[in-house]
Amino acid sequence: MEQAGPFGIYRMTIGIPRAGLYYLYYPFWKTFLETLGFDVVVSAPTNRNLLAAGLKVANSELCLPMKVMYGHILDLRGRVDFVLLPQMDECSWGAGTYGTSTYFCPYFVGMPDVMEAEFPDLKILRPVMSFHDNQIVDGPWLDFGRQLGKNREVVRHAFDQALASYQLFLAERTKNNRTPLEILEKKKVNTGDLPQKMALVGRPYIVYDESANLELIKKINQRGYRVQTLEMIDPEELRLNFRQLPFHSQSHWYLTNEEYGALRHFGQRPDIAGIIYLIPFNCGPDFMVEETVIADLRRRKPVAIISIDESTGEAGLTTRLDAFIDMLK
Amino acid sequence: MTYASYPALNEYLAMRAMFQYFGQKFSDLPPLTEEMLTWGEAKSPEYACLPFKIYLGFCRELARRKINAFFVHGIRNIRACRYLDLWEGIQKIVRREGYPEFTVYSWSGYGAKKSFQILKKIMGGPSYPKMLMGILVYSATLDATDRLNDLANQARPREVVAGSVDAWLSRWLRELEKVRRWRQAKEILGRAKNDFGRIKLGQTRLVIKVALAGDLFKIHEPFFNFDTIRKLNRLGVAVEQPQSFSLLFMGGNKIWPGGYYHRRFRRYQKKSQKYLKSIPGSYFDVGIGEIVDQLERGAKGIVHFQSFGCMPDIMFKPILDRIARDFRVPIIHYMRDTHASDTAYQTRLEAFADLLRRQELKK
Ligand code: SF4
Repeated sequence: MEQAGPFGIYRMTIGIPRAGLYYLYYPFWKTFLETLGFDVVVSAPTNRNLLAAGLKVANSELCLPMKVMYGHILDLRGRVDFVLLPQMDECSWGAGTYGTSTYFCPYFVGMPDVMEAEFPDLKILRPVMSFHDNQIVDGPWLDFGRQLGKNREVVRHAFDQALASYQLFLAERTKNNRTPLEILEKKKVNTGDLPQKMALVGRPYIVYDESANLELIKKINQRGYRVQTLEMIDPEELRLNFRQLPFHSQSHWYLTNEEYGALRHFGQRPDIAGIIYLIPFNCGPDFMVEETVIADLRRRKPVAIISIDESTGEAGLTTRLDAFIDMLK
Repeated sequence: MTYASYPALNEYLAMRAMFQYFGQKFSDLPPLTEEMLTWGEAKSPEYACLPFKIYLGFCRELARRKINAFFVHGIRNIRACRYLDLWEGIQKIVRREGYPEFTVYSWSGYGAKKSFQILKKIMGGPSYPKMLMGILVYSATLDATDRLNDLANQARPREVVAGSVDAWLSRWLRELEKVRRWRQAKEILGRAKNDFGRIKLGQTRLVIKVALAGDLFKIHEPFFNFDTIRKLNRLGVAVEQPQSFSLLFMGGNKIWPGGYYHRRFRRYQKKSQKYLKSIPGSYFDVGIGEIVDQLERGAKGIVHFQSFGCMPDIMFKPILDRIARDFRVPIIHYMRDTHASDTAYQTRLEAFADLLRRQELKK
């Protein structure tokens, strides 16, 4: 979108925090906005200063990923016209399947409201993002595009393009066995001679944020293991797996159910030597994962639970990882 | 089979009335204790929130007393909060700890159709009209309980004889234990209101009103919130009970579309819109709208009671700060964790009440 400025006409820039659900939906958001004619700017990769800035303003009880999110928003503040913070809504499932709705963590649902309250000067764009049977629902995006002043056909075209690039991203992950870190950040992962495989399950924004997790993937690679993550599994396979849990054990959280599915999936794979479950300290939705799936999984596969927060140190993490790997040998 | 629920503000009386109407047994509830909390904490997953820990201890106590069926209030599907996972998690742990029969029946979260199916199963297959009547009994008792609580909360700061309001309240709550028909609840409420006139209230004392904010569980269980409302009342501060179950059940489920609670519920939702476009958990929208409404009606400050590990509470904080800025009123945030001290909280409330009083007197 173009706007008159002191130096002539310029295109409006929309900032996307390189945090949170960026690792799942960035291709969709970027394509949608660019097709509509906006410039997209992504915040800097998480680094010490950015994290320190986030920690300074964020509520100390928040989980690490949300503190990181504050840092990314501060990084964008003042250098973009708007910040995109989609409001994550319901994920409903067709009748006869799961039969009820699942949700994103409250922090993702209410983030636009919280950030508006925290930073009154911040201009936020907050399209609603909801899902039906794992598909992104088009209605809210079409409304959002029209609110941005675009006509119906243009918005529909942008949505179709965005969906296509999202599908490509999904296929690249599941069919070519690549992590979002390789696809979005062009990082080298799982290269060289890695004879064994280790599963790393957790929220994407902690698994792929190298700064927040102290380069855990690299550390696992250096110890001779190829890392397999949740995002490499076909979504349908994930769903089949978590649905095998008794109904009352399935979670009301969308991403937690995916973790249940991934843990069960990796638990059955003979090529996986062990599973690391990475959990941000004080994560609300994941508080029952150990009780629900891991306790049972441990009978079949070695599992390490690694909890992480801003005070987790290099030495502690390495010791924990090495102890687990020793156990596998 | 004997059923139980959680004690929250005596609203379990509504549950009891409904069970009695259907001819089912409903247990007396043990009070929440520190011992329950200690046990619950020891057995809870690491990141469980405080309500999880306390209710886990409470449910285990019920199971120990051979009460193995636990019924959860039928309030709106609490979108993104642990509410639903919470009860299922509690059931899992109580069973694992040696009470395999313990079962939680949740009357909410799955829509009206499923709620009726659950009710039908539990109550021994009554007809739909009978179930509707059961819901009426529940609603009328809920309404009576909440109105009694409200009257007491308004009167306590002015009572001349210490304890007279609470004596009145417990007498009439005991009466509500007998309810089996909806008319009974109405009659008891009427008689309680007449009796209320006998309490001596001083009209000259300066009573300041504040709005109480927080997530549902905490502001409903005096055990959780260190009896905040009574503490404030004794300091001469009046508080309206926020997010009462009558409001949430009758308003949120549109039991009487256009009726008192439904209108209030909608009004609060509307008032929250300046600050909130999403519902990130629990009754966030109604809670925020209610605070705005109370400030517009003269509340002079906000007390935000939080508990450790509660996600909606963490998100409430910046939004409440913004509201406090807009209305230019003071706010305190108090965070309770398992080891919090009642005395430290009392001191903070006293300082807050002093500040409000000085501000009022200055005017
Ligand atoms: S799901 Fe857990 S880690 Fe993610 S934002 Fe919510 S509380 Fe934080």
